[in-house]
Amino acid sequence: MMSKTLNDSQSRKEQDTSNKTNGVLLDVKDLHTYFFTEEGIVKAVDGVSFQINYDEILGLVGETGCGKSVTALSLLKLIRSPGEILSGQILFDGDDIVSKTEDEMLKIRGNSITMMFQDPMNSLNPVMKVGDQLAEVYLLHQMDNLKAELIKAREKNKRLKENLKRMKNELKTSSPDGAETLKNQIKAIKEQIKFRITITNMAHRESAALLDRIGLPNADTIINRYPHELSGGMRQRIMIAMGLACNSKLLICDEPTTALDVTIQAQILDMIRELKRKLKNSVLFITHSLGVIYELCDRVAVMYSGNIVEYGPVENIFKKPMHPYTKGLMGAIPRVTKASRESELQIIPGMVPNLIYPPNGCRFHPRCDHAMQICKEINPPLKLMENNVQVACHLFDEDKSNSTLFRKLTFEEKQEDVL
Amino acid sequence: MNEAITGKTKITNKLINQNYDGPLLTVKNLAVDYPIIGGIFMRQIGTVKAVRDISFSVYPDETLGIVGESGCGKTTIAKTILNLVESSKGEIWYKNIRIDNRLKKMRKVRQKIQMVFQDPDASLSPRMKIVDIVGEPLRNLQGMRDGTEIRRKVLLLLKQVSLKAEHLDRFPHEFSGGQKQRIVIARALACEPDVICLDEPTSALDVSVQAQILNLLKDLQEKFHIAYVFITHDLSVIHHIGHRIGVMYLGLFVETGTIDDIFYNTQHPYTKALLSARPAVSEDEKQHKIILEGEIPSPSNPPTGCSFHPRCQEKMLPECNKESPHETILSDTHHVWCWKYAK
Repeated sequence: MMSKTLNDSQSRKEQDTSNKTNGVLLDVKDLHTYFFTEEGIVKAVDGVSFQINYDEILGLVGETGCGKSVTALSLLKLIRSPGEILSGQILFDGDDIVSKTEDEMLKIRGNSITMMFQDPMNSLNPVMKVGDQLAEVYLLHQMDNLKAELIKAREKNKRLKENLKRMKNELKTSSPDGAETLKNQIKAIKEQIKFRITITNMAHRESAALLDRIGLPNADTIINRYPHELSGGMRQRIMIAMGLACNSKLLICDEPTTALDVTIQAQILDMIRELKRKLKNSVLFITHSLGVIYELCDRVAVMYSGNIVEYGPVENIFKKPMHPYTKGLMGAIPRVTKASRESELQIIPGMVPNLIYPPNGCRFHPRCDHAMQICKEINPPLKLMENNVQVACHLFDEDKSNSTLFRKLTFEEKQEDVL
Repeated sequence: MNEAITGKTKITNKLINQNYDGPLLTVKNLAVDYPIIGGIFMRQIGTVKAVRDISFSVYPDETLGIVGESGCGKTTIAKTILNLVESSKGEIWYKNIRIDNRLKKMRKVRQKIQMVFQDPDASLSPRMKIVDIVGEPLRNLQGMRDGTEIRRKVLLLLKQVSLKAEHLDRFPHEFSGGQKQRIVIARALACEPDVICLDEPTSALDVSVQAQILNLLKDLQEKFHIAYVFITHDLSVIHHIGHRIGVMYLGLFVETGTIDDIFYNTQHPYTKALLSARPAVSEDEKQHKIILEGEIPSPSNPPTGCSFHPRCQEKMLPECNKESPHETILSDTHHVWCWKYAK
């Protein structure tokens, strides 16, 4: 009941704002997040720009250490010292998040943007019952709604009590056979007002209803359990429930299915898809599995070493990857087709660069088969190609007349920048 | 045929290195129980039947894949083969030597059966240099004592897994995940084994690194004619590297066969569900998703009858919840345990 009213108001709000921001919910512009460590400056996110539209799932894919998670943490300003968001804009519904204070952020986190972390065991409190943890979300972020509900419930109770009084009076004067039905009615009402209505109780009731909605069986018993009593899939579902408790406009999922079996992963992905269809919120889905991206997302951004190298609709990128790194990643996936078994898996030579001393120019050039002189000097910007795909690669430069710049590099030349 | 070696016969190097035509490793009706200890007097109050009745054999030059969800007993099989866990029933044979539960005599056999664990971080001692880590089996199992000789041998091994001489004196924390897994593989190769049990060797790695490791394993197999027992939950990996597959559910095989049998002639409903749950990356791989309800049941209290029946989406037969299905032989290589095919 409560969430329904909330949904309505939210969709109305969305219509207002979507006109204002042209259908873009989150607009990240040239984000730089660096970590100032003793060894040097780790350029974890170095000039990342992307947009998330309303009612869309954007996938962020890349290998370990490419800056996916740091990007997500930056969106919530959860970067801790020695890390810092150096420059860039994060426009959420037209508001810049980067300039917000910590107090203002507390209101945004959980309410408008929710994050779901990778390891459900580490993100759930082991000494608190699951129901209490879920109720906490409601108590922190939806106090106003809860209070309104509470007043409603109390009024209802009052009415019931008055009824009860009236019935008891009637009972004294009524005939013997009418008394029997009256007694039964009184019993039913007493059952209804047995529970004391407090705000915590309301929150608990909401949590159970939420678990029911996301398809966990026996929600009433589950809220009284501790996290260690639940299986990995169930814990992940509790985390998702927590993320959904506030009907946030943006849900950030940081590798939510990495630790799970394929069958459970399929269940969770199905659930996220179903919920997104119902709630019409936007999702930023971070993963290293290209398969999950293909199954779930509308658009995808491929990250490499702090930069986005390819960005566009999933269908187009998977059908025809353009950037050599994306191509390499696709080739590295073992496929289940008869032809693929005979051939060797493609590999990307070398390793992910050290983010303290990244290679000059394009950060992928030491591992790239097509590396040219210009790749060593200029980091290519994202460039719009056909099919709405944006690619950051010098291979697609139009003007290739300068033959010294577009000379192919030898292996030794490529390795000069690698430390 | 050589005679079977059991009981108190001493296992010598000569015995281990003999020529033998049959399978390198044979597992017959293996069962492993873990006790549950509890109550006030710390008595055994139950058993977890991790592996219930598993038989297979592995031949040289071949990769046997064991696939299943977590908690189905895949890792326990590998551990039992290496005698890290005691079996409660069944036999394990290396060539014609019976090796199950003979811990003291295992040392000689360990040269020939090696294991690679899932987490390379946890299987490398953080305080040992690479040369000591990879040289340890040479010292302990082959009795090499000469330091320079060991160093020379270790360098050769590192070269096999594309690492360099400069890596010899480094510590594990200086390496990336993929390189660590290479070191673990080099260590497993040190004693020229016949069989390597690989327990999810690539599941902690990124796809591009996973591809490097898979290609490396394939090359090594061609070079040294090693047999792999490859344990994984990722069907596409086993499709790439495997020859035969056993699909496990709750301590039992539900379907065994060659790659072609399992992937292109799938019979058991569980295998079908597993195959369809795998996220696809292209249009031609995309298929109708079978989403299984619920989760794998507890192995301490498996369901009666076929252990898969509570989650099975096929029409239930009257036998399904009463009796365990028998092995049905569909072809020479393709066996399935399902009432649908039993007749």
